[in-house]
Amino acid sequence: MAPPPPKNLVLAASSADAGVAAWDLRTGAEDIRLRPCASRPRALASVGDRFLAAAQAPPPGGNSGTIHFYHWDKPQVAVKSFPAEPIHVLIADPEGTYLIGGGGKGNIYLWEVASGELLYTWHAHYRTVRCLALYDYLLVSGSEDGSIRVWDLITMLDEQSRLEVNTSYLYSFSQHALPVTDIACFLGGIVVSSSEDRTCKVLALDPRSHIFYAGGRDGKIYVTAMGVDVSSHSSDDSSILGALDDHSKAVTSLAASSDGLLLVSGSEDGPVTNVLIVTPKRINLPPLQSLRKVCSAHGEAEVRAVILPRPENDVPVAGNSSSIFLERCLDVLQKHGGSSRPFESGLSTLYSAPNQGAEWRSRYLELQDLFVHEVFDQMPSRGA
Amino acid sequence: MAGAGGFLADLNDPWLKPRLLKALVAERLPQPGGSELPPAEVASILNAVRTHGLLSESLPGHPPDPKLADAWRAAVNAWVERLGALVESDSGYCRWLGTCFLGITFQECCNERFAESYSTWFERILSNLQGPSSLQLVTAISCTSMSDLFVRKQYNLLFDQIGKVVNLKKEASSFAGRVVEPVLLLINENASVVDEAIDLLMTVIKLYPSSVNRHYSKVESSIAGMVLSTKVNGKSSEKFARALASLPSVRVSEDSWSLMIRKILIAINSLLDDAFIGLEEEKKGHEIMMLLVPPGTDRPPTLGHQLRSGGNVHAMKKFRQCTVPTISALIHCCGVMLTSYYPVQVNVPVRALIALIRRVLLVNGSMHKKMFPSTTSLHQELICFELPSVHSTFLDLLIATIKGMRSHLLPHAASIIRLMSEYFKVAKLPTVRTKVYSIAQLLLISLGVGTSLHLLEAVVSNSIADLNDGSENDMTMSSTHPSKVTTESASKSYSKKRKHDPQMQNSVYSASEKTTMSPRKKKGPSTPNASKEIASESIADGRMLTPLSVRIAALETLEILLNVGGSFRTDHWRSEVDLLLINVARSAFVIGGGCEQRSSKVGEPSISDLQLASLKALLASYLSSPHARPSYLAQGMGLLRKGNYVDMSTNFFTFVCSGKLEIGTKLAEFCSHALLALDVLTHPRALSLERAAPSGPGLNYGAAEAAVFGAGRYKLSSSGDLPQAMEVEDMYDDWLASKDDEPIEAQLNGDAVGINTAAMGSNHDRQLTPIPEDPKIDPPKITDADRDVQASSKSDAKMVDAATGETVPLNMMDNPSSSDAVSTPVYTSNSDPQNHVISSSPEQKPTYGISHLENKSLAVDASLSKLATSNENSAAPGVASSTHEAPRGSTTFAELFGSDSGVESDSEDSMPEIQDGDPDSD
Repeated sequence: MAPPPPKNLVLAASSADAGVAAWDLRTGAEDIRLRPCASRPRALASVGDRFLAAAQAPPPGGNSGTIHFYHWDKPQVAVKSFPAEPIHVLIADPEGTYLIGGGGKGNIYLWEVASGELLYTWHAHYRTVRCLALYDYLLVSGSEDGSIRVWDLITMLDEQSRLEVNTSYLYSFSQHALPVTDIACFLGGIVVSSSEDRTCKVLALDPRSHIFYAGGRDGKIYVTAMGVDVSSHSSDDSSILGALDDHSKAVTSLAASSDGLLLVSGSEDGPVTNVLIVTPKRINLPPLQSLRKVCSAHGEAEVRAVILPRPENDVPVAGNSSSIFLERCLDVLQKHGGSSRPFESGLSTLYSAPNQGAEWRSRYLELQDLFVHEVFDQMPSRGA
Repeated sequence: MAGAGGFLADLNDPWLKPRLLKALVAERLPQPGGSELPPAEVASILNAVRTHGLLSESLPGHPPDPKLADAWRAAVNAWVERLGALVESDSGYCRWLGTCFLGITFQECCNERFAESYSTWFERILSNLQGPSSLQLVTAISCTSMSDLFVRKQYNLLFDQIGKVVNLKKEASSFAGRVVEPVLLLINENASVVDEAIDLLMTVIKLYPSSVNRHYSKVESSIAGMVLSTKVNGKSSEKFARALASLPSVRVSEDSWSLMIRKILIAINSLLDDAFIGLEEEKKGHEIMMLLVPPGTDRPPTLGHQLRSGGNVHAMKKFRQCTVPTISALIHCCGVMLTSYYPVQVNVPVRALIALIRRVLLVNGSMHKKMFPSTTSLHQELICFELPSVHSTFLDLLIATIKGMRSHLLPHAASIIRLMSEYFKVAKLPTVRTKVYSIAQLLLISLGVGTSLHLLEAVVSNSIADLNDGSENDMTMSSTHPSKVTTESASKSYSKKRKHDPQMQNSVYSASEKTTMSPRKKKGPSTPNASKEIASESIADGRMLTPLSVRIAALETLEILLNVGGSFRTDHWRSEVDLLLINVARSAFVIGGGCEQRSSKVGEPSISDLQLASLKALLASYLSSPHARPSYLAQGMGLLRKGNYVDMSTNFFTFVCSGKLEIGTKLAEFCSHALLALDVLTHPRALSLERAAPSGPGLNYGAAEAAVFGAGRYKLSSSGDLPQAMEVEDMYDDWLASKDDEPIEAQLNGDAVGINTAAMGSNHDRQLTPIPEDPKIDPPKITDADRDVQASSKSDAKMVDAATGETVPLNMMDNPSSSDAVSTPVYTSNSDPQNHVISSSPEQKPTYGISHLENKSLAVDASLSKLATSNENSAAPGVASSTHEAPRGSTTFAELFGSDSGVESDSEDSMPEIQDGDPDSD
């Protein structure tokens, strides 16, 4: 069953063990259903559109985390991995090179997808990491303790850089009084965060006109204008342009289609914890590696860095070379005044005629070298 | 309708083709053993065949005319037969000619014919290839046409029916397999045709990899042997490197790729061991080997049996002639492997790769402490002679690594960035430096804003050093110079002197530009002593020579830096960079005006490339500005308009001279694009009230908006309304206290760009005061300006000429806005119905207006003046200091206004003025 390539799937997952359901965005027809999966909000990530990763909510009383990988065309779990602690949030970078997970104890884990290697893990927050977002390779994390921190992954991944900086995070914001529930990054370094204290805050200062959608606990989706006035956000609702009122319970997750025309929302009335719009890509996938539990000892082995096959880099074979060759020959012949000399003395005249001087020169230099060398060799021996 | 004989219908009559071909074969193609054709004749046959598609046999009409089809087929048959006869003849020339035309036939003939004759042709060429041909030309063309044969075969396979493909593929593959051995023989033994032979081999590897599988090790050893030996010259050794790089695709697996790249890296490493003796720590080579061959694993077999040629040649000669070319060929091979497509995911020994690059780039030619007896000063000299090219090849490798690995490089990004920051200090030569810049660009693009935080310092400081090379007409570059005070005072006295004859404006000389330039002029090359004084460091002389290519690379890097991370940590660097960019753009256009006629060499960047790069960077600086109103927007807009316009005027000229037209239109194209992009910033709709009001404190009561939006009409009528005025007043205080624009302006006025302010002050002073023009005072002013020009040296004078010619439009453009600026505040604040009087009474009104203005916004001015270091007379009471204060008041306000809203007001009407005022236009 090979579906046409430009297919957009809407994925929905729930914290109840109902698997991940998929529908076609255009037709609404149900596609594949991946099971089993029971994920918390923001724990579902599409890895470069190549496959799906979902951190599993641990069974009550369970103390270990589980992450499932799914292929787009197989309904069962492809690979299971067991990180050191339950992962609450999971995101992947746009290229699908890295998976980043936030744990219940405030740790952040950074895996390389291709090798499954745990590249680095660090203690980021005092309490559970509730949400993660990437802006290029700046990681923004929000926690239950109300703080939001920005991490530069380049620094985090390099031991020497880590030692050089004072604080491992780039910025730290602690304006939220209650747990941060979600973060979104926009171009130009704007970060919008939402929190249980019923505020949305614009963190970085680059106010350009934007509209963003915020899902509320009351089941409404607020359409909010950005850049009106930073200070008024908390006090009144002047910036809220409108509200979509369809859900009966709290909105947990929002996703917009790539053309910006459709908004998909998931709500507890489903109950849905995650919605995601993906365009599955089927490429020659290497076997998936399960994620490691601990970092490999430093310097022990070559870090496995990989190059993925990229067909667009293929270099085409140049054709048409006979005519090029002929034209080149004709040029040379023309210079020789149309005589057939090249055909008597062979190709060498064709190519090396201009080089002959250089050749002689190099021979001469070689000889000179040799003699000078000899003289130098003899001198000390004479002295001795 | 024409038939086999008689007249043709027209040029497109299909009967023309068989007839032409028949004539060609009968009359022009030689018989086997016949005499040679003159080259022109051969070329004309080639042309005829290709232009008319004589061999294509594509018949028009449904169904095609059978008679035509027969005739054409017969003609092509005759052609092919004749070629066959030629190929098999004894004469070398005939064989050569026949093979050439056969190769062309492969490209031109129709599918059916190719499928029919494919195997016959193959055998014919193969026998030519294998035969003990005395003529190397024949062997060479045989290789080439054989490669054409395979390419065409592959092309045909794509369009054949599915069912047959498997068989045909097998057949083609077995044919390809038969070629490999003779080609290897040629490569190993026949030095003069290696070029063509390696081309053929590459085609085979690429199209029929399975056919090479059997010969894998043989192929590898002979290619590697050629790469490692010095038998081939640069161009073909690159070809060999590419062939070596494509070899792993014969046996597609992760291991074969990794093995190959490790082998190559080991070979490079051991070559470097020999070369760098005494110039680095001993252990380095060993460390890299440990990375490549981790303890406990087997060392891969050496590449191509590692035959070391030239063993008896002198060591130094060996280095130059053997080691360096070999290293660069191997590096090239690595680069191709990293960047080209490979069907499976592969492992890159990235740490070894980076360590190797680091190893080479850190060798700067200095002797290491521990001397070796074998190292001589001659050896060092030789190494230093070759180091730039070696560095350059390794930078290429780094570029390939970044391109190939993309986001997978993230864990190693920090070490690469460190290396680059270090290497920036070493890289002085233009070629190397441009490469370092391009690496910085690549890193910024591929890894995004995080990189910009790390690269910021290195890029900014280096590009400032590269770009700030004492061009004559910077608005200021003194932010780093200690001579700031003198420059300031110079400009001060200058502006004072000017004040006595304020009608400068209307002269053909661009007052504003001259004033901004003049402080610099005085210090610049015009008076050598002064220039020595300002550029006391000897670097300045070297900087003057920063080549265009480096400056363009620096500009491009800044552009990308601004695009990627323009709004990050802006407080440290943005003001400096923004100022630098506007200066560079200005100077580029001034220089450009001066040497437009001087033709530049082909392939080298010209001044218009610099202009383009500077404008691009400028646009990036505007668009990425963290503030609502980018600084220097007005000046930049002027340049962009001018770029648009100058181009149109010079285009004609360049068209006549031909050659530079394209780059010219590129510049014009970019300018119009940039103006469109900036529309977001300059269009009135972008001016929300709360943002615009504080931006022009000189405009009391937000008069600009009032005028523009019409809301002000209302305000105007009720301008006596005190509460409203107070309210606005409050707004200013508010702004002063809280808005983020404020510290920026302060900084602009203050320490970083002190001279700029001074220059701008006098500049705007001149722009403002002359509005009430007085024709009597006009003449002396011109002479004054003239004298100024005379005062400078000759070359300088030329420059000024160019400058004035160029800058008039700029000035003209600024002018209307500032005149507006003067009249509007007076208009509103006085609510004087007779405000037009201003323009008639030169001495009093403007100063009154301004000082009045000053009065109203005293709070603003006071606080601003505190911040402005260049205004020593700021303590003077506003009203009393009518002459002294006026320029300053207008400075702040006009500056703000000019850089902010001034641009919008003159978008349309300024264009005609430019055309009138530009003396260059004729």
